[in-house]
Amino acid sequence: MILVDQTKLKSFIRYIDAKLDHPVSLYIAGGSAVVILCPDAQSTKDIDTFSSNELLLIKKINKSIPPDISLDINNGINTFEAYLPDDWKNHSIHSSIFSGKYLQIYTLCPEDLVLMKTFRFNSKDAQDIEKLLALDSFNKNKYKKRFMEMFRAAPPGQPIVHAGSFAMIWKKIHPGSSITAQKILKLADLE
Amino acid sequence: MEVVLNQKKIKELIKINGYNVRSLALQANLSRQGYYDMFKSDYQPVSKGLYAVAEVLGVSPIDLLTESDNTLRELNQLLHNAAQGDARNFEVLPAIIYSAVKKSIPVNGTNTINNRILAAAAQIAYSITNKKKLQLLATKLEQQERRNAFFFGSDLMELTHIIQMTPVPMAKHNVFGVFELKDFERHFK
Repeated sequence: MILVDQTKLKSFIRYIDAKLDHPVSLYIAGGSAVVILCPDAQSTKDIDTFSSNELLLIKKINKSIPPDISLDINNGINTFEAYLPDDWKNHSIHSSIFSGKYLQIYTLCPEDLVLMKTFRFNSKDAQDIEKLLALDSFNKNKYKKRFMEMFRAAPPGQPIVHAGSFAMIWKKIHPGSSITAQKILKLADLE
Repeated sequence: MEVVLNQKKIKELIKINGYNVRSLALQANLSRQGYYDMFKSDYQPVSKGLYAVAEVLGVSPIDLLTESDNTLRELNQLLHNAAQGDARNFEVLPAIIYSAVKKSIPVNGTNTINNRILAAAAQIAYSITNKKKLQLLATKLEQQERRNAFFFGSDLMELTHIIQMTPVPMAKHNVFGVFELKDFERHFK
């Protein structure tokens, strides 16, 4: 198994769920979150989650999973928390389809997923962003508002680069838009 | 369970029995091309050719078979998806190519786009592992036609941005995408 789709992710989650005896919440970001929200998406074997005591328990269970179901669950996404508003959890989405009896699965909302990917913006992120933008539920104004909020908070990285990434994404949302990186910097009083 | 011809074992038996490919094929009533076709991924392993070669080498046909390795199938799937522009599939490709080369599985594409992508992936694998065979593979696959290029992420990103952010091993083969080498490295476990 190289890449993970919804079926493989469900198999993993079901196995973990069967080994639990109390409710556990798992907040997922990154490519796995895109797989949960977008049926045709694939991710690599890493499941990026936010740190919690429950993650240690799940990692322990993961050691006993058959290799063809096992995935690499980690809290590497913590390094990207600097790109998220503090209230990300309040906007997270519960996935009833992926959740089990005990293991409750949450993803970042599509706008926050695109937000995180805007600040990294590599080729993988670009393809995930396109899928997320295509969701009926995607709220472009919410995305823009949360981006400007984080942008003004001066997250790690060069402002001109982040502004450029946002401009490219916004042009996809609004073809023909005259937005530029410079305009974003001016709007954020960062020129 | 899928089976394929055990190329390594057949080579060993050819050597032990004092043959070369030409004389073996002659004895087995095969053309040289027919002999090499036996190792292609779509060849039906249990065939007249297998029986003929086994008889010449003095072994049972079963001795020339081995369980199919998933590597070639995975590589072909990743390549197919990468050629459609999937950056995530391309990210895993260098590690699978490294795995294929270690197992002496032949790596080649069926068209110029595939070969360009494979060359770039092999070059990345070489830059990570420093294994000469990967550099040789990248050179062998390298496309002389420099006018064409392949881009990952071009639906959303500006081409100049993609070109600026492409790792050198990829750009060398006119394959462009916004990656960091560590993105590829994590699949080499």
